[in-house]
Amino acid sequence: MPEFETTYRDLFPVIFKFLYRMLGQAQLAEDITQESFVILYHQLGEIGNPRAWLYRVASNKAKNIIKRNKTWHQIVSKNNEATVSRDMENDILENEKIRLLRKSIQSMTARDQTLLQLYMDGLSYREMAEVTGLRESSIGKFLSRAIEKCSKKLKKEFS
Amino acid sequence: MKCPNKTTLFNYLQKELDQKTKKDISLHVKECAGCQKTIDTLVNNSLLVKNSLKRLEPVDIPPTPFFFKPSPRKNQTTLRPIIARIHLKPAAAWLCATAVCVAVLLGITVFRNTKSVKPNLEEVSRHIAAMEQSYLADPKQAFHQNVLCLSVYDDNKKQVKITVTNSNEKTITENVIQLN
Ligand SMILES: [Zn+2]
Repeated sequence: MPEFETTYRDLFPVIFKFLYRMLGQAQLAEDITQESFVILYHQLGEIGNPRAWLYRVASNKAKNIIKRNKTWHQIVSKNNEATVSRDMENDILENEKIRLLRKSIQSMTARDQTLLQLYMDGLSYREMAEVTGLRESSIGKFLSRAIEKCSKKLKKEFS
Repeated sequence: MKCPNKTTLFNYLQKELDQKTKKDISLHVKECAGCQKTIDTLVNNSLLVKNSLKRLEPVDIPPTPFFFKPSPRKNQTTLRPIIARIHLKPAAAWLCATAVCVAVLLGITVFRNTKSVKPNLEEVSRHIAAMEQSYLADPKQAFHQNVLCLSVYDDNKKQVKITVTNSNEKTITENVIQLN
């Protein structure tokens, strides 16, 4: 199945990075990426746009994890512990910045977070609509507001 | 033309407008200091957000796992796929680890090599498949949805240790395979 293999090779790193930005945990991001591709493999014939489909499956899984707040905090603190024990002092400051950055973004709604991450990856409005289930005609409004909200938070946190 | 609203200007920047509107706005913006200012702000905010998200990306991107050929199975449709977590055991005896991810019930095996030395994947996968079969033959086990299948490869002894654990990391079955 050459079509699947091409999709897999091209999009594996893309979906992994997308999930990593959302979850901040490499192992988890990789697991969800693999899981999404396994499902894709079995449904490929029925899927029009595998890219949008993969983003949808991956972001739904990520959203569920983010919503389970408790798990989320566990992931973050576990991740930080591991990083701090391994890294040099300079990096701790850097990690603190990343942690704050993640916190700012995590404080937004799941919908806004997803839109921002999709925007980052250069998806078209049509694809974003397909991923999120929002109407294509509303994407511009939701996305521009999400960007405005996010930049306000970032300016406040890092000013 | 009166000033377009913020969303429309944003859509203009994203090139998500029809040709006619795009042209109208382009002409308007050239003449309107207010809209130019709004556009500057929109561009700056977008850049800030994009650069910030970029910083959340991992330093290392793992190599794309080898997607192993699926083996069709009977009675597989009602069960969810299972992906194994990858563990590297620090024990001295296991010099090199080959992480094996197994979508057990769907019959897809995904491999990732963490070191350049690697065992014969086909051979390992045959053993794993056999273990899966006996595991699945037990009706009690079919209810476990989060099964982890770990594989640790010992380069010296040319053997692979495969452990299937449940979601509480309790070992369900374990097998050491001697490779040829
Ligand atoms: Zn104007």
